[in-house]
Amino acid sequence: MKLSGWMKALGLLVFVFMLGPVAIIVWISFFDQAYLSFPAEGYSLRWYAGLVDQTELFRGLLYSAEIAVITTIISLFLGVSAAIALSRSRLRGRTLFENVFLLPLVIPAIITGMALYIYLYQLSGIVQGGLVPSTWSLIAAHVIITLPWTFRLTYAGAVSIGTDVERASLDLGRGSLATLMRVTLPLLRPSLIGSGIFAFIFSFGDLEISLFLVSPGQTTLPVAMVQYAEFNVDPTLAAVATVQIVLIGLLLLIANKFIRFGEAFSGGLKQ
Amino acid sequence: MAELLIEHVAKSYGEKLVLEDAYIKVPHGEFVSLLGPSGCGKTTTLNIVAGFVAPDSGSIRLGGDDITRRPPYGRDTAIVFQNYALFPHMRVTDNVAYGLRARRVAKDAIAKRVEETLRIMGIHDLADRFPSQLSGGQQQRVAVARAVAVRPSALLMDEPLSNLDAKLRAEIRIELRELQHRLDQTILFVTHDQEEALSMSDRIVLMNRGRIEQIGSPDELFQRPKTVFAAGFMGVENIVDGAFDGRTWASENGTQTMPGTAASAGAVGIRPSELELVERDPNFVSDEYASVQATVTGRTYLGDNVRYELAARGDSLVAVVPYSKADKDIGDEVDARVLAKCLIPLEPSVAQ
Ligand SMILES: Nc1ncnc2c1ncn2[C@@H]1O[C@H](COP(=O)(O)OP(=O)(O)O)[C@@H](O)[C@H]1O
Ligand SMILES: [Mg+2]
Repeated sequence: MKLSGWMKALGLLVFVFMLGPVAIIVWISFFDQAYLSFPAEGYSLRWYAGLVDQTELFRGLLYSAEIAVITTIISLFLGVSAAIALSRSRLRGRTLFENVFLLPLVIPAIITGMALYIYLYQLSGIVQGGLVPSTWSLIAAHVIITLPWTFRLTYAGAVSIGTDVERASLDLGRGSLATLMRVTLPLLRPSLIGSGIFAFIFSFGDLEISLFLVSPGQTTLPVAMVQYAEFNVDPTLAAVATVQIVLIGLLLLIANKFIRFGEAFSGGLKQ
Repeated sequence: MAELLIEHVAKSYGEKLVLEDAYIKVPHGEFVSLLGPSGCGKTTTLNIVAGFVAPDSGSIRLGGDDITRRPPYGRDTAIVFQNYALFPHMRVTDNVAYGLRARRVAKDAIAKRVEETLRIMGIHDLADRFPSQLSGGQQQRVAVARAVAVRPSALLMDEPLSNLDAKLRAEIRIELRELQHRLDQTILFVTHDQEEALSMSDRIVLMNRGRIEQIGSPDELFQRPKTVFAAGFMGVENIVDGAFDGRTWASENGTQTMPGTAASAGAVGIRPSELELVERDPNFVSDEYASVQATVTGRTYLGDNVRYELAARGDSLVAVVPYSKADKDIGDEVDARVLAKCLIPLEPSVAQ
C-alpha cells in the first residue's frame, strides 16, 4: 500500500473511533429493554415517548437553553468588542491580551468551576449576599469558558477584513459608529453567527463548571442527566443524548455554512 | 474653487523623519503627482491630507479652510485606495452611493448621480454585481466611481494603477485624464512610476526620503532635473562629477559652457540617448560639443537601439544609439560626444 493508502486507512479509523460512541448511543436509544445489555431484545420508541414525563430532565433542558442564550449574548458582546478593539490597536502587549482571552482553554473546566465557586463563595461573605449558587454566577462562569471562542473567531474575522474598508467608510463621510454598523459588523456577520453558535453549544453542553454552581432545585440538563444516571440505567439518557446530538449537529451545520461564507468574503477582498 | 495646500507639513515616527517641511500646492482642477521611490513618504502625505495621520507640524488647507484638525469624515476629500478597499458586502451601486448617502443627499439625486457616474466610468452594466464578481480593472473603475461620485474638493489616489497589467494601465491612464478634465477635478496622485507621472500630471512633486527634491511640469522634470537624484530618477543614467566648476564642464577637448543657472557643486548629467560614439580624433576641438575618450566595454542589442557601456576617465558611461548608427564593438577606442547644450548641470541631492 502506498503512503496515501495508509493515510486513508488511518483517516477511516479515526472516523470510526469518533463516530462509534455516537452511533452506539443512538442505537441504544431505540432498545426496548429497560436495562443496558446487548444485543437488543427488541426495538421501540418508548424512551422518546417517555421523555415527556421526565420533568427533571425537561426542566433542565429549558434551564440550560435559557442559560445558553443569555451566555451567548453576553459572550458575543464582550468577545466581539474585545476582538475589534484589539485587532485595531497598536497597543504594546497586544499579544498578551490576546492570550489572556484564550486562558480558559488551557485550564481544565473543572478547575475553573471550583476556583470560581471558592472565589464567589468568599466574595459572598464580604458582600453579605449569596453569590453562589445562583443563575448569575452560572452565567458568569459560562461567559468565561465561551469567551475564547467568541473572541478568537471574531478576532480572526476582524483581522481578515482589514482596516482599509473602514478607512474608506470614514473617508467617504461616515463617522466611527456608522462605520461599525454599516461596514465592520456586516462584514463580521459570518464570524458573529459562527462564534455565537459555538458559544451556545459550549454553554449548553457544559457539565464540569455547572456542577459547582447550579442551585439545588434548579439544574442544567447535563447535571440533571448525571443525577438521573445515579439511580437509573435505562436508555432514557441515550434518547436525550440523541435529541441533543441532532440539535447540535444542525447548529454546527449552520455554523459551518457561515464560516465558509466568511472565506468567500475575505477572498473577494484580497483580489 | 478648491485649492489644496499642504503647508510646511512634517511628520516623524519615533526617531524616523518621514516627511520634512513639505510644501505642496494643488491648484483647482490640476493633476499633481507625488513621485518617488518606495518609502519616500508619499502615502504618509496622502494620509495626512485625508486625515488618517496627524502631522507633527504644518497645516492642510482645502478651498481656503484649515482642515488640519478635522477627522477624515469631516473633510471633503475622497481616496482611491491602492487595493481599492471596496465594500465586499455591497453591490456596485451601493458602493458608489455610499458617500452620497453619508452626505444625506436626496434619494433621487443619489440615484441620478450614481447612474451618471457609472456611465462615465463605463461600468453601468455591472451595477448589480458584488466586488468579488469583478475583474481587477472593473474593481478599479468602481473604486474611482465611488470616490468621484461625491465630487470631492480633492481626489486622492494612492498608486491606483499598480495592480493592473500594462495594457489596462495605459488605457486607464487616458480615461483618468479625460475624467479629470470633464469633472474639472483637483487630483493629488501618488506613484513610483515616472512614466505614469510624466504622462498624466500637470505638475510633478519629486520626493526622496521625506523631502521634496523638485517640483515642476513633466517637461521641466524630464528635461531639466536639478539634482543628482532627480536626474537619476528621470533616466539620466550618466552622472559625471568632478570636472564641473559651475558654468563650464571640462572635457578632453576644452571647456564647454553650460546652459541654465550656475550650479554649486560639480556634477553633470548626460542622457544615454544624447551621447554619440565617433572615431577617436585627438585633434577634435569644438565649442558646440563636449567630448571624452572612451573604450567600449559592453554592447546590448535592444531592438531599435543598441546600448553601449563605456569606460571613460574612471567613469563608466552608458550610450543608447539607434541601431542604424551602432557600428562600434567591444574594445573599440572612441570619442563619446554630447552637444554642450544637452549637458545637465546638477546639484547634490536634497536628501542624503
Ligand atoms: N505607522 C507607521 N509607523 C512607523 N513608520 C511608518 C509608519 N507608516 C509609515 N512609516 C514609514 O514611513 C516611511 C514612508 O512611508 P510611506 O509614506 O508609506 O512611503 P511610500 O508611500 O512613499 O512608499 C517608510 O519608511 C515607512 O516605513
Ligand atoms: Mg505608498
